[in-house]
Amino acid sequence: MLTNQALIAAFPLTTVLDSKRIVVSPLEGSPLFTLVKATRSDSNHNKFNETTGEFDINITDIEYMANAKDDVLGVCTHDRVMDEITEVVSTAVTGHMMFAKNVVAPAIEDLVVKTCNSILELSPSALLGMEVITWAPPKPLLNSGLETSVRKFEDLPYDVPKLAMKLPDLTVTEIIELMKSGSGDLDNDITEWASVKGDSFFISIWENIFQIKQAGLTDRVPVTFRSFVYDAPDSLDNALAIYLLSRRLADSPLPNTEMNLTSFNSLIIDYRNQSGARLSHAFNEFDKVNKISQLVRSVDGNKTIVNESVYRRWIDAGGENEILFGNILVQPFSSTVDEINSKAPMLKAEWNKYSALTSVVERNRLFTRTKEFLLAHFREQIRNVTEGEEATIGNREIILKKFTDLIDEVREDETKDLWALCLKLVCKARFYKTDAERILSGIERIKKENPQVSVREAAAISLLEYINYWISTQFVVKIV
Amino acid sequence: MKLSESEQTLVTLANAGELAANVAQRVIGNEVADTFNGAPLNRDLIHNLAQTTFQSSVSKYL
Repeated sequence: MLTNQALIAAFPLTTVLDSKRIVVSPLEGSPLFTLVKATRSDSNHNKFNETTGEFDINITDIEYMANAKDDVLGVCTHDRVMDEITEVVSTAVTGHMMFAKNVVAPAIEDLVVKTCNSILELSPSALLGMEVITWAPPKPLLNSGLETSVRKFEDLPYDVPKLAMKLPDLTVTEIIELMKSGSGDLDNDITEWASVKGDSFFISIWENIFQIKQAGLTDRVPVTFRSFVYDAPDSLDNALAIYLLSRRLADSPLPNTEMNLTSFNSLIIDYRNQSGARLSHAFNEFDKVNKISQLVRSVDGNKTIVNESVYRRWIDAGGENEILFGNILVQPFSSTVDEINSKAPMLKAEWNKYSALTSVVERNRLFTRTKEFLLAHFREQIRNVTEGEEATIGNREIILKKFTDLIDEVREDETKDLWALCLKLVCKARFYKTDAERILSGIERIKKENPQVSVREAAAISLLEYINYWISTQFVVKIV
Repeated sequence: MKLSESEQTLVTLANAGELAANVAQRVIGNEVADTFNGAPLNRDLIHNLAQTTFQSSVSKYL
């Protein structure tokens, strides 16, 4: 049936085309040609209007002729032709859709996922991902009462007590409680510090320093009192924990201590005094840091470790992290605020120059590697096709050649949308004999334009567009 | 209409739209949705979408 609805809907475009003297007719031999022929409309349903000087088309006549039943057979030819074409076309369209959904889309997904995973495994340039890490002393060391108590060990001769303490097992809660002094402020600081360090830190200190367990573990590092309180990465935390514990134990030994009292007292006092001396030296260092405004504490790869109190003041006074990044690039690097500020413009310029260059190099590297990954994973995908896609199996070399040629033409900005790129590459190289690219890229575009719609809804519109496109390929356009 | 032949254009475009609507009615609602943004894809909408696509396909002549 040719409905009035269809004729009314076609009228505005017909008017536009008429005004440009454009005539559209069906391509001879096409399904649309057969359908139009069945309409039995041969440009005889219009009449020249003398008043307007134009042709008036009689839609009712067209509709009547198209839908009239054959006198002999009693059927409407247009209905019969329409049913036949609709049956064939809808079966074909459904087949294209299913193929795009069940074969092509998974192949694209596979290439996208594998390529993304390979990109994620790429190690970034050392100069990208620069970091400034602030360092502050353990919280209890900011307590003035504790400073006073360790200052008396400042001039103590250096000694290395043996790790021979044999104290009973304690839970981490008992260890933390044992460190507390009864002073509210300091105990609060200890609680806060303990939560930052975590349970394993205190268990390790207890087992290595206050129990004999370390003696049997030859591969344990560090293994001496000195290495714990001076050389380890957490040496200051170690010294603080040892000091707080030994100070308390020197006053009140634990029950079930497997040592004689003389040995215990001598060793625990050594622990307390030597760890106290270490802490007093640390206080001297803090004083020096503040006195000379030592901003940079150390540099570790692309990380600049800064003294927090100095760093905060420097940032408040207008300091910028880019200056510190530039500081790493200029050897030897500077440490104090005065040194860094005096070179700040040069350091910042150095960083800007270097980061721009590094970014370009990194971007080019990523682009090249992405193309390599795409080719490698596509090659693997093609190699693994064993059944169900005969066109691929029989044309591996042609498909790979097409893919390689397409990869050569990929622009860097296309790699930002890897799904869209893989869709194009896979469809053009492997599924070039199908309409999968039109259907799938339609879904992708509609989803982007209407983020709120579901994939099934986007697929519906893409399919309608595909049907319309296919029909429009049967138009013949003439300018008269 | 200025041209007598525009009747041919109208019949061609109307048949094209009718065919699009008939095929669409068979294929939507199964593997793909029969709604867009929650609204049903009725024949009116399908006809309009078809004519918009047809206009795009002849736009280079306009």
